[in-house]
Amino acid sequence: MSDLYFPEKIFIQKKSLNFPLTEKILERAGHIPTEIIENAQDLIADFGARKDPLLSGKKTLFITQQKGAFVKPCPCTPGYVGCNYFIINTDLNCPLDCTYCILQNYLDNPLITVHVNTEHLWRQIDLFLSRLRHQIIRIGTGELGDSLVLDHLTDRSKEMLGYFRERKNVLFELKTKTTNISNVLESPPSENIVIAWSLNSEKIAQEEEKGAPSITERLEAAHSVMKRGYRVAFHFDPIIRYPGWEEGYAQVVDQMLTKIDAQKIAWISLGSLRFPPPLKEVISKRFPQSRILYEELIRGKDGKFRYFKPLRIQLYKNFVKFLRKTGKEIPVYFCMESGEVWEKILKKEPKDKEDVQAYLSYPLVSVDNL
Amino acid sequence: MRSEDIKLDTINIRDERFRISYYSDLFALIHSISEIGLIHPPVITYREGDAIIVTGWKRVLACQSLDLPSIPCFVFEGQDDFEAFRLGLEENLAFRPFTLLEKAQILSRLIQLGIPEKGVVKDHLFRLEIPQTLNHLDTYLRIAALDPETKAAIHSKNMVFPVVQLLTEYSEEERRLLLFFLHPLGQNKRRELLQNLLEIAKRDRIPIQNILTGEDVHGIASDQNLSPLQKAEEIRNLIQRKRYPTLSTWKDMFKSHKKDLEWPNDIKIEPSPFFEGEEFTVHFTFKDLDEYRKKLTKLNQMASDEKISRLLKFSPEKKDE
Repeated sequence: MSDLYFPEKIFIQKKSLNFPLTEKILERAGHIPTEIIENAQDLIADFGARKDPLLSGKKTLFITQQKGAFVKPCPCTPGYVGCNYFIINTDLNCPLDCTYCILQNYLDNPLITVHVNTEHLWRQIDLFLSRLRHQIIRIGTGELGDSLVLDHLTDRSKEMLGYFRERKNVLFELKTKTTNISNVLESPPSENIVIAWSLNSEKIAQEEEKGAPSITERLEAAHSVMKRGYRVAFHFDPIIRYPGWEEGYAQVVDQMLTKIDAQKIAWISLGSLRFPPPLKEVISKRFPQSRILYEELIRGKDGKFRYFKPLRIQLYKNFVKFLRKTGKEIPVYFCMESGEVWEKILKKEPKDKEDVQAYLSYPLVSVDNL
Repeated sequence: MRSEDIKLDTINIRDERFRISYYSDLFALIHSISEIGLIHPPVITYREGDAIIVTGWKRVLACQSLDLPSIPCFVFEGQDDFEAFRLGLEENLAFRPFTLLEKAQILSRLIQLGIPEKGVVKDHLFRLEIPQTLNHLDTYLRIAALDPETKAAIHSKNMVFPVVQLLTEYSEEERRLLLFFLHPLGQNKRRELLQNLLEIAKRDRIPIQNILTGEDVHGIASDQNLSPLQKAEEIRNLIQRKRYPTLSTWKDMFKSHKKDLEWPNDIKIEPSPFFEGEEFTVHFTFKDLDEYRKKLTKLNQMASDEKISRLLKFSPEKKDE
């Protein structure tokens, strides 16, 4: 599916009516019914009591303001190696309906939420970057929602790309599963900008990533962005075990390397399926046909369910073997994995998260020259 | 409400429209009534000429057991069933917490009385200390619809909500096959067995009944030398192995390395939970300096045994080699 997302209804918090972004969204949304509300908590509680709050929430856009911090360090997970990444939380939730999505459990608010107080956003980003102006910073959107899925309504990417293009100590990343790349193609590329796609095997994409474009469509979009001059990245996360996974993942790696010039791949991240225990019940209720919960998942050092370590190592070993087959050197890193796994698969155990950051920061290698 | 002496044989106990409790021990109540009489009269109401119980089922049944000819009752004169039910509900809420089965029965009755689901979620769940979501209501309604044999087992074994919730995912026939194995186990093990069985069935796309009627399960169930608890534990282990084959193999390997090394029984050595970390834990107790030294000496001896590296380098690579 590569259709643009439009909600069935838009709720606007009264205090957020007179913002330019609100006006833009309403103009582009056309005739979608709208309702002005006073109290966000009542609205969230109303959706929370529905039979499938998440499904109802995905059909509904909520325009409000971010009261807390827009910029945060990526929380990573205790007991595993981090990568010193920072996240910008502009919008919350995602209309795609992936079985494994952590947001199903992470957020109390099930609505697709757009924060329109962009002045605060930029002020916070300015402040954050000025504090760390002598460092290389890896930062991106797409943590609590897809970076591009609402872009036709908000133009967020256009503003972000324009802003970060000039910040040469910053590696900025947009992360998406969509093909909503018009704004990206219209914006001039820069070496410090990376457009990333989340990839999976075609079988997992079809069965577990409801509403997301096919792998072929995603790679087509990545190809267009690469042709435009951007560096691209790919996140194979979550890698999922299923009968025939070896072949499935070998195919997608092959497809990716056929379509994309390895020199233009900034990095590839690998992460196997993992989730906090309460998500298990949500997944089994919302996706009774899915079998992703029934492999050998144990409780990791962080308390989350993840594959038993020998099975993860087997997954990664195969994956890296597929990638190395081409003979091209692409930076590969693990998301939320142990030093032991890094060492066993990539033959390097990062000393700390700064070590991982340095590994992934090419071409921004020298802070002294800034 | 007026008070009236009602002949016990005129009360229609087949009409259970207001009943919420089914599994109660009447012994203490019978004893109390026989000693000091009925202190709190039940509430009845008349429907189509019959006297039916609004609240006080246990009291009426206890009095029947004592062959009392009649008892004092309060009579609710309204004709609205919901109002009558609410009366019983409020009376009980004021005096005691409800059991899980009673909560399920109350919610089911409210739906039968025509209260819409959303109304039940909004107005009644919190009073029963249940989170106010339709999903929770759904689960309780499924519990209310369980067969009497399962409900009796839930009551007698005081099964907790997570276990009962899992039971609702089984068919009546599957539950019948399972209850025998569940009875001797503790709550956590019951939950683990139920969860593992469901997950194997979903993973392998096979009916649970196929697992429960398999030769391996049958072999354990029909072993005359095993007690019910031993049978239940064996079944639990078998199902655990089927659910986690690689992890089980690793546990066996670790055990076997320990055995090869003749690791002393009075010093425990454990890998990290689920072999996730690289560290091991050694645990021992001692009562005096002498014993402490002996155990340290033993540990030192173990450390110089070449076979210990097989135990400590216990890793995926080792397995692959």
